[in-house]
Amino acid sequence: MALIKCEGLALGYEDNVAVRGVDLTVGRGDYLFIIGENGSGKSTLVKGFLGLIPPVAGKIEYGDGLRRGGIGYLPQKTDIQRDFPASVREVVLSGCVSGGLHPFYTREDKMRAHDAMMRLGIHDIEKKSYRELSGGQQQRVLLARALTATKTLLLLDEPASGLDPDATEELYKTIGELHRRDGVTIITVSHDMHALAAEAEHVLRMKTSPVFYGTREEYLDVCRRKGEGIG
Amino acid sequence: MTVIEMLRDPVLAKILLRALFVGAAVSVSASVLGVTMVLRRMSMIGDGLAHAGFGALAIATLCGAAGFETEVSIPIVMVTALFLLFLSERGIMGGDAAVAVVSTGMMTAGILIFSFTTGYTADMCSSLFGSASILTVTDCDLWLSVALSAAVAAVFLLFYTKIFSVTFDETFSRAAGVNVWAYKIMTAALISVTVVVGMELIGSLMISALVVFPTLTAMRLCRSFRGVLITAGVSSVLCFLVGFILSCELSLPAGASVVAVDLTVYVAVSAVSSVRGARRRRRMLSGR
Repeated sequence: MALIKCEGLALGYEDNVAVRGVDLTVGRGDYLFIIGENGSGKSTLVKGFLGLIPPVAGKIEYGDGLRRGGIGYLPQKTDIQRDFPASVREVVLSGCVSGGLHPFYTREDKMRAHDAMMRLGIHDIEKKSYRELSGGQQQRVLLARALTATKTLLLLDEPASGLDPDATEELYKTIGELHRRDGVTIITVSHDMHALAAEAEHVLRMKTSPVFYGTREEYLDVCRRKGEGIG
Repeated sequence: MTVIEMLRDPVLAKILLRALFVGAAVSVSASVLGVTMVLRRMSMIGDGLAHAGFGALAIATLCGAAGFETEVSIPIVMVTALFLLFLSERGIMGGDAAVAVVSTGMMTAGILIFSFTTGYTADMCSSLFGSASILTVTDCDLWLSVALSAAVAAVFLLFYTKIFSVTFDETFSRAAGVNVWAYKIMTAALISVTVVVGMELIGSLMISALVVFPTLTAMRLCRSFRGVLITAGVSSVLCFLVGFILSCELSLPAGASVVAVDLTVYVAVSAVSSVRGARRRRRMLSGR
C-alpha cells in the first residue's frame, strides 16, 4: 500500500485547471523530486497533496497509516516570518499543532520537538530568536517543525530558495540523511538539479500535466540524450 | 482635582475606578490582539475598524438607540470587520485599499448622519478624539469590558498553540488541519468589541495606537512570542495607568495622554535597543 496514490488527478478551479492527468504513487521510503517551470502546477499539486484544495477530477488516496494532516510540510518562506519574534523552540513545537482542541502541548509533543531539534543539530540554539538566525539555520528550524509533525512523509516546497550555495548543499545533505538514515519519505519541489542528481529516487516533471515520471536514472538518461546536461 | 482627592470621595472614586477598569481591560485586549495583528500585517484593519466605529455610533444614534449606542455599534463594526476579511480573502480588493475604502466610507457616513441629525456636538468630538471627561464611561461599558477581557483571556488560554501557529505560518497551520478562518473571525470579532468599548474613552482616531505601540515596544525587548505577548499586555496596562493618572492631574483628555505615554515608551525603548544593537555589532566586528 502506498502512502499517496493519485489517479487521473486534476486540481484547480472550475474555469482554470492548473494540474491535470497526474497518476503517481509515493511509497514508504521513496524520495520524489517534482520539477517544472514557474506556473507549471507544482505548487498546486503540493496543495492537493496537503488536502488544501479538493480534486476537480480523479482522486488522491492516502494509505499505509498516513492521514491527510500527517504530512510534515515545509512551505515557502513568507514575508511575515522575516522579523517574527519567536524562539526556535516555539517554532519547532508548533509542528505539533492540530485541528482538535488541545490547549497545551503534551510531554510527548515536547519530546518529539526535542528529538527533531537533536536530529537537525539545532538543539543548542533552541532559545535563540528565529529572526536572528541565518537563512540556512531558519530552514533547518522549519525542517525540524515539519519533522515534529510527521515521522512518515516530508513535503518540501522549494526548501533551498534564497540560500547561498553552501547552505543549499548542507540542507540537501541533511534532507538526504533523514531519508537514508531515518527512512523518512520525501517529496521535494525544487529547481536544484544537483540535488536531484545526488539524492532523488523518482522524478516528476510537470507542465500542467506530467511530462516525465520515472526513476532518476531514466530522467538523467533522457536529459543526456537531449543533450541538456543535468544542470 | 488630583487622583488622591477623587479617591477620597465615594461617588468620584466609583467613577474613577470604573473608567480605570474599562481602560485597563481595553488596553490589555487591544495589545494582545494587536500582537497577532501587527505580526500578520493586519494592524491597519484595527485602524479601519476604529474609524468604522465612529460611523457605527452615528448609525446607532440615528436609530434612536440613545443610551445603547455601544450595544448597537458592536454588531455594526463586527459586520464591517467580516466584510473587510471577505474582501481581502477573496482578493476582490487589496487589503490596504479595502481598509481605506471602508474606513473613510464609514467616517463619511458618520459625519453626514451627525450633521443631519444632532449637528456637530461634543458627543461627536468625544467619539473622535476621546472623551474630555471620564464621566462618559457607563456601567454598561464596565460590564462589556469585563466580558471582553474574559473572552480574550479564554481565547488565548484555550487556543494559544493555534494562535501562534496561525500567526507564524498560515499555510502550515491549514495543512495541519487548523481552521484558520475561525481564528480570523474570532480575532476580528474581539477587536471589534475592543475598538467600540475603547472608543469613548480613547477616541476612535487614536484607539489603534493601543493595538500597535505595545506590540512594537515588546518586539524590541523580547525574542519569543510568549515574551512579546506578556510584555505587550503589561506595558499597555502600565502606559494606560500612567497616561490616565497624568490626564486626571493635568486635566488632559485621557486618550491623547495615554497614547502620548505609549509613544514615549516606544521611542525610548527603540533608542536604547538601537544603541545596544550598534554596540553589539561593533564588538562582533572588532572580534572581541
